[in-house]
Amino acid sequence: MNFQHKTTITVKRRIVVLLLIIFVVQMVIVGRYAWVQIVWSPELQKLAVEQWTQDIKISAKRGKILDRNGDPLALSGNVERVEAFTKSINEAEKNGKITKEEMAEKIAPILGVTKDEVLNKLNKTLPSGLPMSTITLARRIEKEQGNKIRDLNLPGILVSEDTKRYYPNGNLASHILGSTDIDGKGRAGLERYYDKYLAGVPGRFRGETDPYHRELPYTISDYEAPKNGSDIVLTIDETIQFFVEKALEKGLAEYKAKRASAIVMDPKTGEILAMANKPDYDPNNPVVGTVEESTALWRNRMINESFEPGSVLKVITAAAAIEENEVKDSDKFFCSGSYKVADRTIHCWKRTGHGLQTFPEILQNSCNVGFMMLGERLGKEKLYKYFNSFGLGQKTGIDYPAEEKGILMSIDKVGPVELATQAFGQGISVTGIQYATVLATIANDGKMVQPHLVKKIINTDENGNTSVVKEFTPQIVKQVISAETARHMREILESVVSEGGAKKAYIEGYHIAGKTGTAQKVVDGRYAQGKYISSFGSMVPASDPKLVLFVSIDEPDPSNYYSGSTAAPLAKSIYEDLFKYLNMEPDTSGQEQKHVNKVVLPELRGMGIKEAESTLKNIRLNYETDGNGSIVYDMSPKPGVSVDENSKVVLYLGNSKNDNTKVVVPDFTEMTRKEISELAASLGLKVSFNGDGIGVSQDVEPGTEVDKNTTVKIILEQPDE
Amino acid sequence: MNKKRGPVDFPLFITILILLAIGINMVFSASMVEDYYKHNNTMYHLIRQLVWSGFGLFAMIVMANVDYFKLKNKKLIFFGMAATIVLLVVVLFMPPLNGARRWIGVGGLGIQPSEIAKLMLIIYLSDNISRKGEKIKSFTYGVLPVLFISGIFAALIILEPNMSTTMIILATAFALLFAGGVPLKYLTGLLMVGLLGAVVLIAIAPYRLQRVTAFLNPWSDPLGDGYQAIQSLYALGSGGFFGVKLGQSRQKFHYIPEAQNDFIFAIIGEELGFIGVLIIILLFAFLIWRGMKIALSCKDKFGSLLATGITTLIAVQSSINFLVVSSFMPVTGVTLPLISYGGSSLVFTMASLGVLLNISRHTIRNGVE
Repeated sequence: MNFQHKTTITVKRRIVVLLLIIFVVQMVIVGRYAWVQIVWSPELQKLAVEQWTQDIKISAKRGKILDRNGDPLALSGNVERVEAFTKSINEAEKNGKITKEEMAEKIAPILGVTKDEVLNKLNKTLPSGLPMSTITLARRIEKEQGNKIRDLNLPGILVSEDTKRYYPNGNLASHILGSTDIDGKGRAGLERYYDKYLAGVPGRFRGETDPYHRELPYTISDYEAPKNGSDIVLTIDETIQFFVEKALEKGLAEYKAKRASAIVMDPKTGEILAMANKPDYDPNNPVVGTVEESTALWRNRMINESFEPGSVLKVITAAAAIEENEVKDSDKFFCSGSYKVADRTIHCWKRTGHGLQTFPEILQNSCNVGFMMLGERLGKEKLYKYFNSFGLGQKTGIDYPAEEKGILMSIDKVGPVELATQAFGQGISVTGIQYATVLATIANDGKMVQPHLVKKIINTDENGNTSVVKEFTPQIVKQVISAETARHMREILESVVSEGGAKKAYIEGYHIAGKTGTAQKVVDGRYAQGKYISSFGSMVPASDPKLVLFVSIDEPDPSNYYSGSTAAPLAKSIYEDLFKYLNMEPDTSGQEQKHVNKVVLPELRGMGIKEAESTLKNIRLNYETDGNGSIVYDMSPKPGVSVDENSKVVLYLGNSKNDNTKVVVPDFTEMTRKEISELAASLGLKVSFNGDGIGVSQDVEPGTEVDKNTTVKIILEQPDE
Repeated sequence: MNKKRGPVDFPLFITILILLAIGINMVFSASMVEDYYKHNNTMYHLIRQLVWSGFGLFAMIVMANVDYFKLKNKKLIFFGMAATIVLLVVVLFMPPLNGARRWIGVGGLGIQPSEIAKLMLIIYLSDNISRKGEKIKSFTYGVLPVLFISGIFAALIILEPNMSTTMIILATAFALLFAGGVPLKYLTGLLMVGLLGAVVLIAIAPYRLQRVTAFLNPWSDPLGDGYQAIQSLYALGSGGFFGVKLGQSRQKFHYIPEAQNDFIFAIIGEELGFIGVLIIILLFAFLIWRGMKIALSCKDKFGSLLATGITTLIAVQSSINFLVVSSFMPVTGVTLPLISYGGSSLVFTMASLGVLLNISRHTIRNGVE
């Protein structure tokens, strides 16, 4: 070989150096890989697994909400969706089980579409042209269709519930049920409180996929069927709820009130049979107007709000006084119209005074002076002992979100004035459910029960086996007063209905015991003029109550707001429905003093016989006629006389009009201004008023025969108990 | 002139074949998923890699039988250099692919002029430096012309733009100047200038800077500049020490796009683990050692430098690929010689190795004098 240039020593030395440099670099590289693949590996692997793993949620069917008799109040739609898992389909196709074409042919007629439409969907690809992992074939199809597709038993085809919540009764029980949000999650009411039971556990497809959500091979993927939500069985009776809501709706219009609410409770078990507030909303379309307006509408006034109910709280003071032996029925209380406490004179609602009263009478009259005296006898420690044990200022623990606890002044701040006013029910805020629980305690012989809305939670698994997840048994919280005290209280409260301020709730033979309360509303920390809350708490029958009913009307029309003439008759209309529905028979033993409804005879003279007949029928009076003719010439007794229901009126018939214009002045006391005016007008009397509120006295004695157009002066008092 | 030739360096030959075989296997494993979706044929790249390997083997065998000193032909070098420069200019007018003009021809059937440039420059520099003898120690006469030619190549390639090949060419040229006996003071100076140049290049082209920052913290932009680095690290990390077994990579499921190319070593790390990585790096180390041994055993300076240049080229290119895959260097598009899928580049790499094998037939060990 002819080499022009030999390889020099320098060259050789430098090549060795070059080789060494390369080896050093390679050692660094090996070190780097060792670090990445051994030291860093666990962390990187975790991140990589996170990247590969995909969870596809399969929504679970939300549980139903049923009333106590199993009637559905909230349902998860009967709609279903059909999904196709491409991997399983392709596998089946590969194994020669079935082709996509055959599948489309079977599915299409059930969905009511053409075969090609289904086939196109099955062959749908991502925008990149790659096949999809799951394809939604149909949404919100009928259950029948879904079942038909299920029966085909096709590989990779999954029929599952589609999310839609139905409230078949619209507004009924909306404040109890609440509603769900767009994702089907409970947002308000029991839907929210029991969401974890209702929601169920979504099923899932878990597997490793590539960035286009295609499942990776040689990895374990699993399909977990969704666990359906449990059904909630309420203590609510759909029918009772309906009666209550119907009555409230009517009351709302009749008394031109802002809101009206009621609770029906079983005092023995604490089960709420009905609870409603009007106005309410339709949970099928819960969002009306702005979000604030909607959420305000979703509030359950009986649980989420507290208010001053006024005189209904006198039952606590009275019960305390009986239990503490501070009072006997025969004790006398003199009401002069006001009472001096410390250096302040506090008026009774009846400024002219109730005079001398027994203990039951101060409840019947709702006499503030009498209760100030009772408060004095008890002292604040004993009174507060009962305020606390009856649960004022504390949550009842009802199974409902955001329960209010009411406002009870701290005992340290209670001076003689506060003691006096609180004793007759002023200055204490309660929630509807709190007060219903107080009533239930008296109804249940002094044993306080935990109020609740849910009776049990049941679950039906995919095999149709039903099991009870949770059952709510009646829970006695404590003995607040003795059974004897409770019984005594009920007797007195029964007399309040039969003889006292709640006469308009009286139903013969049913022994309703109750107490009314009318309170000025507190707005911005002050008592607001012309804004009242009229409440009536009651139980029936007094001897062994089966039902507790609390009715509360928020801001009734100030011209007729007295609870005795708003909340009490409203309660009566509810009771009438309930007694029929629950087959509660009236007590006809007549052992007790029979209370007979009085009716004021209207002017019938000058009416035709037919007209007079129907008028009398309406007010439940019988009649007999005397003489011949078609026109009522005279009548006995005279118009304005108060007669018993079902008693007989004699109508003297003639053919001409009588010019005898004598009428009898009726008893206007305890009537509202409006009622007085209407009655007076029907009789042809004139009235002049002094003061405002309900009639407490009149210048012409009831029963006096006067000429028509005579003016009767009537003194009204604010029944601001 | 003694025409007698010895046998080729057998350990080197076997190493090349082993690496080529590993490459074919891994190209198949890495490409099958995308091929299935894109071409509905899992063997799309496998078949092509086999065909290119055939061409490569042919080129290697041809070059192993053409005595390397025949390359030292003035006309051949002149026309070769001229043709290379023409191709490097022509490529600049080709339609860009992924933002760079690197290919002449269509798709897989094209060639990259820069691949030819690598080999041509090594031949040219080996000839030039060996021809100058002691005069190489002069800066103006020895170093400057060499630098000028290398500079033209580098400049044309960087215009494509192809930063990585530019780096490889400059590194190889530098190694040849070093081996060729250029005084260290000049080399140190060159290194300084080179570093400065790199800083300037990064400063003027923002995408290079982004790649640098992506390398420093790939998680700062996990779906953008950091994506490849992160996905590559995920692959290596999931592979761990023993790997997830051949064929079972998950990262090749579209997480690492075109896994058979620049990031094939990540798939190797995932499937074969650190063990597999170590074996392949050791195989490259062995190949480089054999190459340098051939360079040392060659009595002719041209042959020595040629062997050094070819070996250094393999060393630099494989090292850059290893560093990029392990996120120890900014991401640049460098294939792993003999392993990555590659049409023309595989053929040129194997042709270079053929030259190296031929040099081994003329070493002292083979009793050639």
